[in-house]
Amino acid sequence: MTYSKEIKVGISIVVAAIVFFAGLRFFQNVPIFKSSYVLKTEFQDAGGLVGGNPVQMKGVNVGTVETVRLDLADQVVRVVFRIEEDVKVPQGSYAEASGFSALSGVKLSITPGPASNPPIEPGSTLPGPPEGDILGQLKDAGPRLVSRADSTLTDASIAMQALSQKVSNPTSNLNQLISALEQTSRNLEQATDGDALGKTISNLEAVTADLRRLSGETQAAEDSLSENNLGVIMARLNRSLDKLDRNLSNLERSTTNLGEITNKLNNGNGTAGRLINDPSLYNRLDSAAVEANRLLRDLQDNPNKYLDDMTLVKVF
Amino acid sequence: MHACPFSRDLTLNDPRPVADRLLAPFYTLGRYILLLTRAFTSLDEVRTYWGNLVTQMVRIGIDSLPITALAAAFSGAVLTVQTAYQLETSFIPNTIIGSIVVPSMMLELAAVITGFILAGRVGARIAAELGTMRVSEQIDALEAMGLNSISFLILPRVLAGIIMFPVLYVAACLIGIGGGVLIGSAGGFLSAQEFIDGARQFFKPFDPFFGLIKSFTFGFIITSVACYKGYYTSGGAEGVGDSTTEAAVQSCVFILIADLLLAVTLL
Repeated sequence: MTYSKEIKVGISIVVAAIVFFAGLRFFQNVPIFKSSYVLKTEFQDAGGLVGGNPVQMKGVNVGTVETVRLDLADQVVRVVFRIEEDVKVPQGSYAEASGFSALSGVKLSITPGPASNPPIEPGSTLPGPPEGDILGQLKDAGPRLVSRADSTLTDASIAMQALSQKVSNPTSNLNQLISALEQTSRNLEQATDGDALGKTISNLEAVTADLRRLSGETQAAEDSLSENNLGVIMARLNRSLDKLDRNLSNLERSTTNLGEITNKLNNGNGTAGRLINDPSLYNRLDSAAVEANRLLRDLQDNPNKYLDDMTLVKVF
Repeated sequence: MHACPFSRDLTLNDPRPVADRLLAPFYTLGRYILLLTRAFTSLDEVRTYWGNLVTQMVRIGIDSLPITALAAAFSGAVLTVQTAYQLETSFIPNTIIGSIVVPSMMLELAAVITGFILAGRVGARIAAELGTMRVSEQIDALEAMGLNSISFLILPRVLAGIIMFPVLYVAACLIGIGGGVLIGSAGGFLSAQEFIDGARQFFKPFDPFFGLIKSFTFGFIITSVACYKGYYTSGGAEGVGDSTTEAAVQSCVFILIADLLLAVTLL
């Protein structure tokens, strides 16, 4: 063929060009035969985002970042990115740079708005994240945190000073408490060193052995119950319970009557109630006793005063 | 007529005056620039020698494809295995291997390995061809027939190098990355999907364009240095041998220098 060399050269150049641009789109993760459209966004901080990083929506790759440029006039980062044509970004969505730049790679994440919203027009600007990132929030909250930490440290310092004074003062409660604790621990040590503890333990062992024996007997009784005349015992128990029930109802009635009587007594109703509640009888008895006492003493002192009036004595 | 008064090596035994020895590099540079200027000022004559250009494109480009592909495939495979060996820790995901191999191939290996291979294969060939034509006075005969020897001999070769070297670079990238993917999955280092995911994670679209810029530059360096060495050959068969060796060695040296300069200025 006359043109064989030309054909070879032409084919090799065309194939190389196709491979180059197809490879470029392949590694950019942009579908080779699908068309795409451009969107823009703006950030205060790109977080290491560069051209070629993937664009993800809900974790799925939907495009590629084309350019990331710092606009020094506005001090914002302007990002241009490309999204597959069949992926519609609803209005109300926002974009943010996410991921670490160390190993996992930075990406542009789109958080979509409500699906019912109309899609954003190609070439328009998608808003950035609604709030600052975690570091930004920390930065905003930083002064308040520092102030709080400062006041907390001041309080802690004052408390430590007070504690130090308490500890250094020999008459303080704390020192007394410590010496009392020391004394207690010494006593405890003495108690544990002596024979008392040994005796207590041997007593405890004896008690445990008794308990074991008792437990064995109980077990035997249970066994006999289960093996022999359990029905008879149950019938007796039932009769006893019936009697107990009757006695209890009698007791209940008696208790009720007793309660009524007590109420009457407390309220001062009836003779006994008045006797308990009315102090006048006591007062009268008391004054009568005093008077009787005085009369007897007077009788002892001046018997003639009373004996003179007795005609029987005059007879003699 | 074309014999260089400064052509000998700068050694202590050189009998030339010291001034001549110091001026020799500038003389060489000036003659090199003038040769290329004369070549590119006769650019409109390319159509006259179109057949010659196509022949050189086939020789420089298409005939070099097998050895370039072989070197690239092995480079990609070895780079993948060695990166996997170096990153053998559970803290680093396997995808990082792809993130390292693909940019390395695009930025450096595909262009430089192809450059070295072409410096040996194409540079030596051009220098030997033109040197033989010079010492056998075929170039003088062309001039006597009224042909522009520079536009007839040098321009097609340099243009063929500039056009075909990027084609070889793209082929080297494709085959080198393919070799990496193949050895990665065959050797159990990482799956093809992990390799591609890693490559995509840190891919910068400028990388392949930077490799293309390198390949244009290397293609120009190899062919122009070889043409210069061959065109100004003197001293018979021995001179042809010297020119061939110098063309290959100096092409490699200038490739390394250009590689560093491009990396420093463009990255």
